[in-house]
Amino acid sequence: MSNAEDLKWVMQVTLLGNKDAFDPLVRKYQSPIRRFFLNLTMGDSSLSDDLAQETFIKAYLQIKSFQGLSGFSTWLFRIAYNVFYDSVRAQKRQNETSLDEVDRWHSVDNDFSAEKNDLYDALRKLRHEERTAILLCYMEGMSHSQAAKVMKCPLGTLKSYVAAGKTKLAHHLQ
Amino acid sequence: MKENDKQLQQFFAQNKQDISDNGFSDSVIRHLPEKQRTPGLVWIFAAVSTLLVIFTGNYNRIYHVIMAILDQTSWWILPAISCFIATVIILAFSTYEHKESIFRVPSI
Repeated sequence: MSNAEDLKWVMQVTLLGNKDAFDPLVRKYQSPIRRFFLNLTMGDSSLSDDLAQETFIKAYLQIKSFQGLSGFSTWLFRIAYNVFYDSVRAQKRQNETSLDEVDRWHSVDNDFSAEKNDLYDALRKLRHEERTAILLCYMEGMSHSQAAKVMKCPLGTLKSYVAAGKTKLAHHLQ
Repeated sequence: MKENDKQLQQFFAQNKQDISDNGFSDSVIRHLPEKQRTPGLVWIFAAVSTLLVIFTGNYNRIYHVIMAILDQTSWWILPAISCFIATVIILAFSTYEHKESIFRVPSI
């Protein structure tokens, strides 16, 4: 499904209030959005599904604010990014713990394969911003400018997150 | 640096998984809230009521009722009601804007 097709469905939801037109968009993007959350939560599949559901519901409610200046997927990932960091902040407020401790909770009770453990071990070496930037660019195949839009930071800052993350990961993988 | 890049691309390609739907999309669609259609309903009721008044020929009676109410009320009632309605509308709009900002959805 191309960007033009995404726009067609978005228009149907926005102008005609056609709820069913949102269905192909959910089906198309459920895998990348759930994978993004799964990697951010270090494999917590039930939490990542809850966050993904929240993302799609927010996208549906606010679909009129999508101006089409960038792709629908960039807009959706931006919502996902906000949803994730809102949930991390809420967890932090409740328990007054650091982001690293939140990572440790996420890693508890998850049954990973050895390969997945490698991935999560590697991602755990990164700061949160570096992890998000690396996941967007390398796992989700976004360009630097798209990832900068998702993280709402200047392009230079995004590039520095990616460079720092790459150095740490390369060191870890050697 | 380029070798690092290749190594990372390989590493992420190996670990990239496609997540099967398994009813996730259906569950999302089921949980989508109905969008509020109150303004549309208000217009429909307003139109139906107006048509009823016109077709039943009661407009003359309504006119007299309104004039009788205006005759009996003090001069300040009308401006006071107008101010009250304006305040309610402004409050409603400001609350709506606040609700929008909570979502912090990007306009990109």
